[in-house]
Amino acid sequence: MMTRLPVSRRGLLRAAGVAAPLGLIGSRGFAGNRLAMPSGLAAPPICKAATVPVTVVSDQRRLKLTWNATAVCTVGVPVAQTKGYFTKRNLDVELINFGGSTDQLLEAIASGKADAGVGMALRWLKPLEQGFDVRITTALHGGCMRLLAAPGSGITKLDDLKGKTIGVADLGSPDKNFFAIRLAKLGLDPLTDVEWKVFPADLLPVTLKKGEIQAFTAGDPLARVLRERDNLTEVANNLDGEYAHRTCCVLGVRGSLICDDRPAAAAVTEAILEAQDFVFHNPDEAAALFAPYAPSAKPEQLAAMLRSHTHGLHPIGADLRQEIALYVDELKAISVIKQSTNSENFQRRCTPMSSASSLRVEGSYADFPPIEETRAGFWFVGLAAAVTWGLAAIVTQALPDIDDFERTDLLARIAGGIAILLLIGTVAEKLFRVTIPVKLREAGAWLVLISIVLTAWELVTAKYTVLPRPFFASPQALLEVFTDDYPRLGDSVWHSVLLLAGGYAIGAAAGFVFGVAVGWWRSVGYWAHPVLRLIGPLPATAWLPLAFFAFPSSHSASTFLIALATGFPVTVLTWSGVAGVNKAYYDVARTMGASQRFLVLKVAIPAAMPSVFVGLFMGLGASFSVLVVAEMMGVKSGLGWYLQWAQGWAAYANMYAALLVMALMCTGLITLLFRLRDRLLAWQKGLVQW
Amino acid sequence: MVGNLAEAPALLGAALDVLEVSHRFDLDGTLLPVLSRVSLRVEPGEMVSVLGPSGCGKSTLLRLVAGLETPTVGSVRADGQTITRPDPSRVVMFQDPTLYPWRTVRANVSLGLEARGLLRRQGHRVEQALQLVGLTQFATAYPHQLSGGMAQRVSLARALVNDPKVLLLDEPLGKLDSMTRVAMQKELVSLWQRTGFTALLVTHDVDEALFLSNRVVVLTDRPASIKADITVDLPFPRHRGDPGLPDLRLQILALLGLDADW
Repeated sequence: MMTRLPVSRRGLLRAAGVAAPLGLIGSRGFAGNRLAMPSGLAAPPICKAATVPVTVVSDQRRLKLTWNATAVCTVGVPVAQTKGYFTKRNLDVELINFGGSTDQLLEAIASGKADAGVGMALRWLKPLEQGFDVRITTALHGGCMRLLAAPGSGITKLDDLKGKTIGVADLGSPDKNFFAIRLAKLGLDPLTDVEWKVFPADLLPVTLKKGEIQAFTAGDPLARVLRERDNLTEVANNLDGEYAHRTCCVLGVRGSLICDDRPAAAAVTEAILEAQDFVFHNPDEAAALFAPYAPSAKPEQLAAMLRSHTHGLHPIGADLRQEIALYVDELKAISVIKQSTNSENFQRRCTPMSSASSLRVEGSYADFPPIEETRAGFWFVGLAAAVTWGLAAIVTQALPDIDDFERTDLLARIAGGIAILLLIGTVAEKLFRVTIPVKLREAGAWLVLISIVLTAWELVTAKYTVLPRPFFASPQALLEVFTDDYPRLGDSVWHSVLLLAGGYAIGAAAGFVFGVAVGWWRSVGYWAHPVLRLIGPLPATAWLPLAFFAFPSSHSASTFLIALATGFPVTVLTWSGVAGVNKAYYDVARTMGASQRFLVLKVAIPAAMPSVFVGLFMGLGASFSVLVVAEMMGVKSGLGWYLQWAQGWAAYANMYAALLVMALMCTGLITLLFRLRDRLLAWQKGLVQW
Repeated sequence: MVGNLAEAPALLGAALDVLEVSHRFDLDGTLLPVLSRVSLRVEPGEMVSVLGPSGCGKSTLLRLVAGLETPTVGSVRADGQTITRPDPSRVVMFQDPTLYPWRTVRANVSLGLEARGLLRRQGHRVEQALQLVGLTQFATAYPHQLSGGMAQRVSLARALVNDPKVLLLDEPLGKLDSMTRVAMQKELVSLWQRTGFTALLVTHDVDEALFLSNRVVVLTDRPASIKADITVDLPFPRHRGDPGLPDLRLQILALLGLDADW
């Protein structure tokens, strides 16, 4: 369903980091680049041999350009390098291949590890909304995404997808967003009318064959290679209809580079544009240049792909902004971009002229009292904590935020509430002989420290952005995740607990039984020992494809991965526990007429229990670390899934919130396991305390 | 079935026959002879001590009688039956109490009955055994809470609850401090007198052997054979200052090659 909300498109457009090209390239008289794009977007691209201007920078600049060599649409990057389009502008460009993850690519640019990068508009707009200091300077071309279905499945057009399950490589992928938009335009709700499931890209065709999904989306070259190899039906792509001429890939340039070194930013943009023109006019040669990066595709195939893409189309300036604006509206309609984003403040922060670095100069934190001084010299730690929490509340409330944060008030209120409770508590204890719980009293120093850390955190993120956004989320941003996104987060916790509980129980039980068998029967040990040594230490990711083939559903495969990670340490430690039992214990029982069964159940197992518990603890840790991997397969909800989803969007606040929940969940489960152990192993001396 | 351990009939014990037994250990391929043609008879209800140089094979003899190992040559019989495997009628008490640390004192004492599936019907015997060794109050304690002497008494109770015909004692008091040891020796004698089991005691303490047993068997160095079989014809309970003891002690020490040190 398309729901238009009254938010300024222009503001969002700026928020998304689209550079105003007039100040960058346009001012240098770069007119030919528009390629005669009429104002109507649906018009076909008429490609004239446009001449791209050549900005030669005075001193040679070393720039790092990130790209994704698994996508053929980034072909312009190696072309620009090989054809010398960088060097003729006096740029020494180092190419950094980021594989499949264009979100990391954006992180690399924003964090200054790279100066520019090529990525897909529909992938980047959401992370840019999160506050990355990266500007889009130009579009590169249109088209490279396909939605494929199994032949004979009856799915030939997008409407047929209602009620079906669509596989995607990740939930933030541009192809997923694009086809979600297309579905929404047809009146289908992309959130409820179809189901999206995440699988590793290379496993998508297998999942299709197994029937777990009915269609999947992918980008070229993978999409086209698979289509031809498996004779798949191409249900839709971004090469037809009104989207035929919409931008697919864009060039992002570091905001501070635009600010500090305009010529370099212009030169790199020009070089990429010139390369795109070359690709359009010489697809065969371009394909040959790209061939080394795509071993699974033949150069002819690559050339055919390049011809099918609209490489002649690379709008900049107003046209680019109009296109991006359309995408922003569409992304809002499918609930990808936040509805509550305040466009005016975003505009202030994200216009090319005021990058994050200049903002840092504006705000002065010298006139702030050093945090050390706020530490009260009172003897009573509780009172000190009340004071520091009060200060945290005041700092949060009184100082202006760098940006719109919706939960600043709530955060201040929480901090203030804690301060008041502490104050009442300490005073009441003094006057009315109320006793404060010993545990709380012992935690007093921690309460002080936490409030100080919170204040410092608040200052360096929400108030002065000393730490760059969005890498460092502010406390209220985290709070906002909990208050606003709790249904999804809670659902994720629930699904993770279910998956973890199932996998852990199976793994622990199997590991225990197996470990006892290996420890007890020499013949079992003979066969099991080498296998365990060889297979046990393998990372869970290595099992992903195998588990996927071997198990009927992705849920059972995920459960298997967790069970495997749990089972290995449990097996090894149960085994070593059983093997290490004092032989005299057996002698005692045997002289008293004990059967073999009695020796195993009543001697070997109880004696091995301390070791078994060590295995159970290690297994729990291991199961948590594979949760993220296990939730890469066809999972619709879960903490690992949530982490990937948040990371894909660069929604770091959500990521940190999920990590916090995960940490709490992990420590909670470990505490539970310790309690169980303390009950069962009360006979042991010197137990480790948790 | 015997209802009360304390009122057991005098002739409960079994006769033991060790017939021409030789035994070897296989240590990494080399055969180590431990016992050489040992023959020994223990009458029902008799307490016999085995003395010998350290590492001569005393404990091995005990394990053979227990049925934990079978002799390379010769046979061991209890009441005329060849011993091939452990049996609850012959219970071993080891140098270490070897209590199960995960079981309470009561559960440790119950072990033998539980292993044979008799616990439900004869559970009361556990309480009697605890009473016998004076540990009723510690029934719910865990082994790590006990002193060395208490732990060894639990071990004794765990053996006695099986109503054994033969009690095999493998230096059971060796690790206790001297005062506790003296007290335990006295308890052992009184228990033995009341219950009437046959006992084979491996020890390296000459005084202990003389205080507790009807006969003292002295073994040679490895491979062990019987060097001397000395009858201690003194009434029980004995007194440590009994005038008959010093001569016997010197005689035994001489057999062990330790007389020059006295």
